[in-house]
Amino acid sequence: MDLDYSLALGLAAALAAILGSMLGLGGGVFIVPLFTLYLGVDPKIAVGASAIAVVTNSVVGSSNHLRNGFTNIRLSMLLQVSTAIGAIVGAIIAIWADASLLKALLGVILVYSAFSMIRSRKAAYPNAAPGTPDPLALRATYPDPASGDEVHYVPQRVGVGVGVSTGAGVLSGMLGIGGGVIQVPMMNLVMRMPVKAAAGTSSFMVGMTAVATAAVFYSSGKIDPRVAVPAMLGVFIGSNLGSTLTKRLKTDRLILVFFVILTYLGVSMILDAFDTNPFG
Amino acid sequence: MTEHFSASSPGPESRQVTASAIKVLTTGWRLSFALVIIGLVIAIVRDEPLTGELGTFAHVFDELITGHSNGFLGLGILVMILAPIVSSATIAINFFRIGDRRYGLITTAVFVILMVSITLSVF
Repeated sequence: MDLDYSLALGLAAALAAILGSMLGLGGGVFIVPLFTLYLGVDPKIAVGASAIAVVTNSVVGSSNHLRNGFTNIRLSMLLQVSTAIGAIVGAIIAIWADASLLKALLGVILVYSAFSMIRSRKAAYPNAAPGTPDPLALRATYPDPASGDEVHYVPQRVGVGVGVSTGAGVLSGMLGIGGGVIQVPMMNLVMRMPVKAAAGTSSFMVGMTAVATAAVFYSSGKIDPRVAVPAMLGVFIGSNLGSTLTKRLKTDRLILVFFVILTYLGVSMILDAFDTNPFG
Repeated sequence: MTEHFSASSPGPESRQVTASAIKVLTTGWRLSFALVIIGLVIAIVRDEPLTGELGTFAHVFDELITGHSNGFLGLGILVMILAPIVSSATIAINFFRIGDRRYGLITTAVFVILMVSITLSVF
C-alpha cells in the first residue's frame, strides 16, 4: 500500500469528518461509499474502519462542541437510552422485515425534513424566556460567535422527541445507519432546538452508538490498520475543522448545508430501495 | 482556549459534569493520537509494513510488549473506542456527585446498555 493511497484514504476521511462533525452526523454515511466506490476498499474492511472513524469523529468533535456549549449532555443521555433500546428492537425486527420499503420511507422522511428545515431557516426560534416550563431540567445556553448572541433554549415536546428517538433507533438497527441523520432534524423541527445545539448533542450521541460496532470489529481482529489508521488521522484533522465551522458559520448557512446533505442522502436511499442508485 | 460549556444547564454544578466529559474525551483522543503516531514512527524507523489485520487483543498486547508498531496502533484504536464508554461512566458519577440522581440514573442506564450491547455483540 503506497503513500498516495494512504493520503487519499486520509483525505476522504477528513472530508467526511468535516461534514459529520459540523452537522452531528458521525460521518459513516460518507466514509463507506467513498472508501468502497472510489477507493476500492473491501466493504467489510470499510465498515470496520468507518465505525472507528465515527467514534473518533464523535470523541474529537464533542470535546470541541462541549467547550463551545453546543452539547446538551442531559438531553443526549435521555435520548440515548431510547435510541439504544430502539436499535436493539430494530436489529431483532430486521430479521423478518423488508428493508427496501423502510429505506424508501426513511428517504422520504429525510427529504421532507430537509425541505422543512430550509423553509424555517430564516425564522430562528426565539430565546426561551426565564419562566419557560422546564420539568426535566434541560434548559441550556451558549454564546453564538457567528451572530454575537447568547442563545437560550428549552427543548420542547420532550415526550414526542423520546418517541421519535426510539423510532430513529429502530430504523438505525434495521437499516444499519447512524442515528444522527434522523436525530438532528428531529431535535430541530420537533423539539425546537437551535440547529447548532442539535448538531452538538447528536455528535456526542453518535459516538456511543458506534462504539458497539467498533468493538465487534476490534475484538474479532478485523480492523485493517492500513485503512483504519489513515482514516483516523484524517478524522483528527477534519473533525477539528468541522466543529470550528459549526461555531463560525451562521445558522442559516449551516441549515443550507444540511438541506443539501439530507436531500442527497434521502434521494440516495429512495433510489437504493428500488435498486437504481447510481451512487451505489 | 475559551471554555463556555454551559449547555448542560447554566448552574456551576452542571459545569462540573461538562468539564469532566471534556477532560475524558480530550485525554482520550490525545492519548490515542499519540499512540498512533508512535506506532507509525516505529513502522517507518524499523521499516515494518503495516499488517492487513490488527489481530486479537492478546496479539495486539504481545506486539505492544515487544515494541512493534502494530501494538501501538492497536492500543491507540482501543483507547479511542473506550473514550465514549469511560466518559459515560464519568458523567454518571458526576451527576450523582452534584446530587442530580435522575440524570445520574439515566446516564448509568446508558452505560449499562453500552456494556450489555458490547458484551452481546462481541461474544
